[in-house]
Amino acid sequence: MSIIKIENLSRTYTETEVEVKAVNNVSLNIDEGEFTAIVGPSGSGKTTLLNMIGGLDAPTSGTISINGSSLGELGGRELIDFRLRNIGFVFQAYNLIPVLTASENIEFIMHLQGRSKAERKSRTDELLSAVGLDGRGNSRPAQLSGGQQQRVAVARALASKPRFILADEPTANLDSKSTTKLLEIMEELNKKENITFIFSTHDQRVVNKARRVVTLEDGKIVSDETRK
Amino acid sequence: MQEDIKLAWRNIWRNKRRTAITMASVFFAIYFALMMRSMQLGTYSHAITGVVENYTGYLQVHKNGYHDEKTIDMVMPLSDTVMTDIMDTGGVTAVIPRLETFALGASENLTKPVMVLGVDPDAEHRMTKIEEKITAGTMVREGDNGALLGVDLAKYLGLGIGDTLTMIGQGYHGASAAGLYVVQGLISFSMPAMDSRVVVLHLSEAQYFSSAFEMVSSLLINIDDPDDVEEIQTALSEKLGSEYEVRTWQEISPELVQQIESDQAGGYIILALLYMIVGFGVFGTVLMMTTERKREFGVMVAVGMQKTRLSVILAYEMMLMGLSGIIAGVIGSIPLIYLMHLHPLRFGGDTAEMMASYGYEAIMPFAWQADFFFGQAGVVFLIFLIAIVYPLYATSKIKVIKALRA
Ligand SMILES: Nc1ncnc2c1ncn2[C@@H]1O[C@H](COP(=O)(O)OP(=O)(O)OP(=O)(O)O)[C@@H](O)[C@H]1O
Ligand SMILES: [Mg+2]
Repeated sequence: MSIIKIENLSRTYTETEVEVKAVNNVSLNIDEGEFTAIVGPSGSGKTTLLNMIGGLDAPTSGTISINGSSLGELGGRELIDFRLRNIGFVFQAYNLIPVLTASENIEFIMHLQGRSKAERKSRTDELLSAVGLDGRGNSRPAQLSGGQQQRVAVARALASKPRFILADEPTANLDSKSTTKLLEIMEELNKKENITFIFSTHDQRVVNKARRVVTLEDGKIVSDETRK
Repeated sequence: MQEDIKLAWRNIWRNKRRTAITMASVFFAIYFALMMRSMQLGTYSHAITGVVENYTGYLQVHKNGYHDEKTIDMVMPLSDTVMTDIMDTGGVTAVIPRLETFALGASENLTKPVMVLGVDPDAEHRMTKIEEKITAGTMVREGDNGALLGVDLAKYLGLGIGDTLTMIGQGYHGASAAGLYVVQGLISFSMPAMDSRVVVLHLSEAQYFSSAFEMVSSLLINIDDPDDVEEIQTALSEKLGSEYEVRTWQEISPELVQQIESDQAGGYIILALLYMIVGFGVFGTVLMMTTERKREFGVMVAVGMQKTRLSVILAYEMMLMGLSGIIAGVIGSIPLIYLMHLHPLRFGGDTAEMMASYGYEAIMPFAWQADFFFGQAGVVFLIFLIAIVYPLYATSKIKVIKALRA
């Protein structure tokens, strides 16, 4: 069953001197439980595409529907609430909230969802342990390594029990050991809890782990292969 | 709401550097505003007490009409009942008699119009500290046939202690007035207008000179609270009736009122400039702090926080910091203001001379009263509110993708 349906999606930047078709007439369906990499050279439109799927950016034309709701039809506030309930984000630059501890960063989203204190606490502990950070809950982001911060970010993305997780180059700032560790965690969550992952990457090792690889060039899909 | 305040509170405590800088900008805003205002108000009240307590008194009682026509015929008998009536009025602390008249003063070769000031030496000293104004010689006493000359007048007439001053003038009800007086001292009121024409006589001597026996031209009144001057004026007018007029220092010295008003206007301009400077200081700090956190805000909105809620939390943060900055600033400025109130700055040089020429001591006392503390705290809080409008607005309109790139 497709949870994401993308039809004839385009995004054109007109603010620049020459018009840039960052995403050019892309159609794509993504099913529940996928572990999909979006690859392509720099400037091929990966970030632009992910931002639109995540409802952070609006397409110039085309539609995205997630679980049957069309993103283009949601108002500003509705869109933010939609993100809160359906999408987990992992950013290249980790983007944890610096004044909050690891636990509080994870709890933050559950706060926004209005979950009870007990529920927040137990899920935070569960997630910290899932990303291999038992006992580091009270550390501030600045006290954690890049790899650890990115694992907290994955835990945070999962906290809201989203339909899927969008990750734009999650390993770009990590060394190979941290990359391996992060990928293991993501794969495990994908397999055990059937969480859908969509991530962009430049890293061949990350591409190798993906079960589906969508390749973009100049904003167009040039290949889409699914592996066994 | 409680949750939001908690979040705001945590943000404040977790980033001490940011909080310290924001609070400091508010702290200094209120600190400087209070200093400035205290200095201004202190200076005004110093100017007022300078003239009022050293020369005119806060209120004067005359025969009705004297204010508009200051002649020797407008004098009134020195009545014990009137004196008692005045003293019995609430807020009055002292009342003293004076007889003022005009004459022509002369030395051997020169003449000059003079103002004769007949005083009761002890009472006068108690109210206006007249003896401290004597620069040479001694105070005129009962039975002394002597006079104190304003320093500039003495210089002009070429008279020194021991020399004789001749005065001719008009007495009460057409009598002629003439007398010879030994200069027994020199006096300076630190007011050129006074020092160049005053001749101080004992009250009874002045009455004798102008044939106005047992008469006075004014009763000077001191009160304990300068703010009550108008109330006491009304009370006295009612009590004394239409035979008398009661005048406030503002009516007696309109020049002083005018000078203070123009000083006040200048003071407000300086204060407005200060508000602008501190306002921009606070604005710059708050803007810098929110810009610095743009990415953090972007992440929050990306993961699902409503922009309005974000601005509300930010507003709580600002309020907490602003209010504590103001409270800290008020408390922090108290010691210095109080110290300057008790031990005013003393000027030297030209400033001192200029101030002396306006008739007051060359000091700059700071005012110490609750109302302007509240007033300035209110104004600075308002400035703070204005300064945070734009940063809050910008945050409520944040563009997530841009913010994430910040
Ligand atoms: N805000 C913008 N304004 C104008 N052009 C933009 C903007 N953002 C991206 N572009 C252009 O759109 C195209 C696609 O950019 P995008 O960031 O999506 O590529 P990418 O595949 O993520 O690249 P990278 O691998 O370097 O992250 C590029 O040509 C880029 O220059
Ligand atoms: Mg990119």
